[in-house]
Amino acid sequence: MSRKLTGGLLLVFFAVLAIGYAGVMPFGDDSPREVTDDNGVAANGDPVEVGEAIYSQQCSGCHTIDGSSGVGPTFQGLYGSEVTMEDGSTVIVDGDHLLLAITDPRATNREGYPDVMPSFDNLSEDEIAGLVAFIESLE
Amino acid sequence: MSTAATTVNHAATRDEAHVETDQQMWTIKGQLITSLAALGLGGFIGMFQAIERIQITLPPFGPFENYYQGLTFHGVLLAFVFTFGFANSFVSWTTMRGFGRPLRSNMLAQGSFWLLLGGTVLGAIILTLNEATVLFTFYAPMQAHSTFYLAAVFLVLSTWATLANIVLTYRAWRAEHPTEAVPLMGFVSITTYIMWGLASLGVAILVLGMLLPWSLGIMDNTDPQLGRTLFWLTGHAIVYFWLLPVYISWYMMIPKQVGGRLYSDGLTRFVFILFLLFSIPTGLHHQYTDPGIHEGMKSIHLLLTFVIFYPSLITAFTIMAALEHGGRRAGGKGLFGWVMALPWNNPAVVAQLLAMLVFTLGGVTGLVNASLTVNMVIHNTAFVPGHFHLTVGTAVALSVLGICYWFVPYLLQKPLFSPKLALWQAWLWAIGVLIFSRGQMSGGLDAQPRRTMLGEASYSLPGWEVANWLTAIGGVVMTISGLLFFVVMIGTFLNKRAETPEERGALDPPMPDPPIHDHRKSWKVFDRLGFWTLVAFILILIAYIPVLMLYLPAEFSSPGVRVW
Ligand code: HEC
Ligand code: HEM
Ligand SMILES: [Cu+2]
Repeated sequence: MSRKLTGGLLLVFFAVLAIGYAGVMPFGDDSPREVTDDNGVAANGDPVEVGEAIYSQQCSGCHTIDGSSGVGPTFQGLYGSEVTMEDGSTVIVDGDHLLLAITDPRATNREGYPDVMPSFDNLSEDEIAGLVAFIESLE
Repeated sequence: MSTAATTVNHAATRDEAHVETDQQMWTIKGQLITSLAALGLGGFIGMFQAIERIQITLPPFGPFENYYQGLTFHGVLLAFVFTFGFANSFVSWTTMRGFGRPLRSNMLAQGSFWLLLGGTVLGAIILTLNEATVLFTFYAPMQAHSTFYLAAVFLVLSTWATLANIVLTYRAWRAEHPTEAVPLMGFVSITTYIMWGLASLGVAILVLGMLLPWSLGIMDNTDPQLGRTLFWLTGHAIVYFWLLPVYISWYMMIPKQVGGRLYSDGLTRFVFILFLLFSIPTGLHHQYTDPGIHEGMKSIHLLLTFVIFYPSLITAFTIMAALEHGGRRAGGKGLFGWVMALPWNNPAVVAQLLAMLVFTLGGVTGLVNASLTVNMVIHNTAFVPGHFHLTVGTAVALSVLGICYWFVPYLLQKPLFSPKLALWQAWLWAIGVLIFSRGQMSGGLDAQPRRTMLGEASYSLPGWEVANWLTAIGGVVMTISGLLFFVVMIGTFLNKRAETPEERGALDPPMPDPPIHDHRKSWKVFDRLGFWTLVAFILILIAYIPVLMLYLPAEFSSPGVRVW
């Protein structure tokens, strides 16, 4: 490799370094972020939208909404369906069941799933109502 | 050159028939092949992870059932198999050359190879069956099939077999040379492995005492927090077990390869002793956000982490001095003229020079991670893989490729295939990883999580799109570079054997000259290996006993979960 080429490559190396790293990440959006409440959900009237926002931040890691499998059961078609619990009993999923499952997950345990769902009783009432509405909307 | 220096350096004179026996050299080749195979496969999987971010998901995710199965493969193959295999191979060889004698035990040499291969095959099988998708950190309460933990035992035992062999070799040498200074190359080899021997105790206790019995059903429950603490007792020091074999090349071979000389024997010993002492009592810097651990102890480990940065700073200046020495001898003038006078047409050197350049950035970002409060900003974000692809993924991996450019031709006695391609390989990797890590790190600063299938995520923040594109582009450039490396290796393998004495001479390994300040000026106390091992052990106790006292009694209450 000629000296010229080596010099050129060194130049490229340092150019990538300088452009990439010197401006400490200038490509991001510098405008102030949307004002959000504690859970990062924009204050917004529609409960389904509130629920969807929380879902995408806090539930989507474990629950899908397209029927595919995850750590926990999918939300698609969950509302109104009949599900079997670990103790063999069956439940028709309604608003009360969702409420209980979200705020006190140790009290409800679906058959065939590990009992690892965290409790979300730190969410506000509006937020939980939003989640329930969102899951209902996926009926 | 003084006579005393010549005697201690007798190791550098070549007596291959005597030092390099067939029974041992095949294990050195075998370890290296296993290591490079892991690098090839693991790196290839890396590409899928990178392009997944721009929503190119080859169905099913690569050859795997899910993202995490691939990611576990990537982590295990690269962080454990690639690095262990290379260390076993290269440091066994520097031990032989350092002490000027074969390794003490054929059985241990061969056992080490079979354990590495066995552990790799077992691990690969159980990962392929998707029974151990627990990522390379295998945190409880995620529970893998017991075979996975068994594979981990095999891999660690393989390094222990090499450790035992190195220690026995040192003792055999010592018996014959009761008063001589330990040859420098032997010294750096043995301190590297003693450090790892101590460090690996944490993970040994974790796997044998907790995870293996738990996965076999002998214990029902486990204590994830205790497990994490034991894991990280090993887990920070392991990065120095990845790095020190490469430092051996930087201290021992690079000065020779650039036509310069190492500055000081004593300083080199000092640096390796610092690594022996301070690599391990720093593990809590990976657990800054963990509950149940006293903040005061976290702060102590934080301070010790800054102590362990110091020998790497010495290394930077020492190696730079050797480079400048070589560059000026080759006629380089002025402040930077010596840089262009370095052998930029030797791929073995270029790969390692670029690795060093990239490593400066790895060091800086490492300080970000280590700073307790700043860590909170980047903890578990994509910043972290951004950081360690600069360190293990380049400072180590690219240096290993550079070492292979002379070590493999030497082992095979065949000239390197297309040094030009090898040069392009090195440049592409270095430039590729700068782009890749820039993407990961800016994503991380914008709160992008690591270990996440981002292309599928239903959320996104401003800045992520650019970050993902940079990661993907850089990752593809690195993959192309990796392919070039294997083309060069396969070409070398297919080359004709060197026949004439000149041809063979050209393949001679770059053995070190004595440093400018040689061993006669070094403090004798540096050579008291048993003493330093004891001090290192005591430091571990000081750093960890309070952590455990404040934590115990252990809570064995977590059943295993399978989250994949
Ligand atoms: C760490 C993974 C995880 C997260 C995060 C998670 N869940 Fe769960 N969830 C589970 C698991 C596993 C189950 C099944 C076991 C059980 O019922 O306890 C479950 C069960 C449920 C159920 C009961 C389903 C049924 O048919 O009884 C509801 C409702 C639910 N989750 C809602 C949510 C909501 C809403 C969120 C986000 C605010 C959320 N989950 C976050 C893992 C998770
Ligand atoms: C072609 C080259 C490579 C590419 C494109 C690549 C890509 C990636 C990506 C994108 C991740 C992050 C995945 C995530 O957080 O979800 C990752 C993780 C990782 N990489 Fe690489 N990588 C490459 C080479 C290497 C090398 C050479 C090493 C080490 C020698 C390495 C070691 C690791 C480790 C240890 C992880 C962490 C895995 C985990 O979080 O469990 N990679 N890699
Ligand atoms: Cu660390």
